[in-house]
Amino acid sequence: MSVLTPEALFEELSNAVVEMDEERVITGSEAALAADIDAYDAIQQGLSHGMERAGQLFEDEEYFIPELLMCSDAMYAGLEVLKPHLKRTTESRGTVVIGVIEGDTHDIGKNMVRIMLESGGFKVIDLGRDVTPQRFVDTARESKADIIALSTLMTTTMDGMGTVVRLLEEADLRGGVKVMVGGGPISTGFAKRIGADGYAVNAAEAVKVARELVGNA
Amino acid sequence: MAGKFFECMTAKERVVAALTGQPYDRIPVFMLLSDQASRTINVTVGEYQNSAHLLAQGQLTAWREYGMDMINTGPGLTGIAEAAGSRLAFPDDTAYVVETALTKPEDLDRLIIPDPLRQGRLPLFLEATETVLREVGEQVLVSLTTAGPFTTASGLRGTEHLMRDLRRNPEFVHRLMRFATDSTIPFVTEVMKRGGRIGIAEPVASGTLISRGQFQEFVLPYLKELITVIKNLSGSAPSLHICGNSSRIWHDMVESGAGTLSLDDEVDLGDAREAVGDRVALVGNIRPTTTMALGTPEDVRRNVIECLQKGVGSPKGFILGLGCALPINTPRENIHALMAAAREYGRWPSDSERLSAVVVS
Repeated sequence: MSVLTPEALFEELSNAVVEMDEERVITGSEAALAADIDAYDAIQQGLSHGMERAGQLFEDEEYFIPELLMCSDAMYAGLEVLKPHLKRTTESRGTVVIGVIEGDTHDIGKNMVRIMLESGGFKVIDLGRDVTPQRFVDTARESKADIIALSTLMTTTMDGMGTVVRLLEEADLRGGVKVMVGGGPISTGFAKRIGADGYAVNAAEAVKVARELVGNA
Repeated sequence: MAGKFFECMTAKERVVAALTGQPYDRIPVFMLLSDQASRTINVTVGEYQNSAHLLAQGQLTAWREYGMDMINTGPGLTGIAEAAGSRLAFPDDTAYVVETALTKPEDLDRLIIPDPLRQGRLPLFLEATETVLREVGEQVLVSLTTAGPFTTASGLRGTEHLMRDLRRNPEFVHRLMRFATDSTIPFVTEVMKRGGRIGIAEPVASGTLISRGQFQEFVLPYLKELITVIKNLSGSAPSLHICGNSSRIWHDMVESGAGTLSLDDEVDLGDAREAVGDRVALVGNIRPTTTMALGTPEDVRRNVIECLQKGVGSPKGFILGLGCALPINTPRENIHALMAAAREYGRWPSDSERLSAVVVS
């Protein structure tokens, strides 16, 4: 490993993430540190790069949820190794408050979006599932979030998404906080109707939408 | 179409006609109306789901009000897992698993196949089935929506764990599927002894979650086995509903032996008919959310016509149905509109010219 150039190491990290190989990601991350490669670069050009490719494979229907989960496990294993060595506080693309709306407990979709947003450079605050509209708004205020990302799989809980938009308006926060929505029953039409700023059909697309919303696509 | 229309067949006769290529008075309608029945008798879903009396009364009341062609009750997506040890929560909405029976794979060794006469709420569904069949069994079929083995496996293990297990521990997934299948067979056997039907729902095996290869390796063999048992006991094949995008696995779904495929509104009925309509009957696929829960009666009418245009005449039969369970917040007028549109546009023989004329008007 020691003879590898930084570029070759980044590629190895990226490949190991795509190939769901946790051990290789750890070895590669350690090799990067041993070769005095900046941890930030190893994360961005290695791990995140691999996760982005995994997201693309998911969009292309080559990978499915099990594979995407394995890739993210590999990525997080590498992050464990590299994060303590970050020399500077990394600049995030923005802060996202994410959760499954009150009344629903289906959270695989939300977890996928969280993973893709994190690997895409966002700071993500995950409120979990069955979250009240008010908690989204309070957390967004406290954390000065740029985006609230809402998910649901059920028809009966969709209205809660509209409530979040309304509460943001009432709290006079609507100017600074964008709202994006997704999940089984959600459509672009529904997103527009409740006044949300963005809709994504899957986790890979969610990152693109989030980047557009914070203006650095 | 001039003159008044009178229904002249029972729901049962209508369904048999539609599935055997015989004339029917109007297209049969399957509504997947389960938890929504709690609204017709003004109780919460939790109350409804925990009482054999309310299950039966809710279904009978809904059937008398709307006249759909299949009555649905049953353990749904989580009832078998619950009977085997997972704990459910009952908000005034669909029940969900709060505590899985398995926290680690080794726990599987201490799980016991649930006795359908004693464990969980399984006895309630059997009792409700008996009541409904006693009252209206001459006229209408009663189908118990029952999770397929993969969905039960997910209810025992947790969906995200199961997704990881597919990659990390495939041997365990097979053992879990064995247990889930073995836990389902005694229940469906009791259902069929009482004259009920089985509708298998296998949403966790959706093409939105797993690949076709994973479906073929981990789901199909067990589905096949369960369906064979049902066929051998009842003489008729169950329906199979898989949510989300199922287009990649339509051929595998046929391969499972299911008698009818119930399709999500996410897929195109015309495409399904093209792909597998010559091998299996199709049910679908009115949009539950956009049309039924959030739409107007006019939206319902249009959606019905759209489905009839695509489905009627499918070689192995077509039944007008929902793309997934009827949302509990569906307005009553939309349910009435669905049945009215079936009576208006779904009469035999179908007149495709007339149907297309209606759409543009």
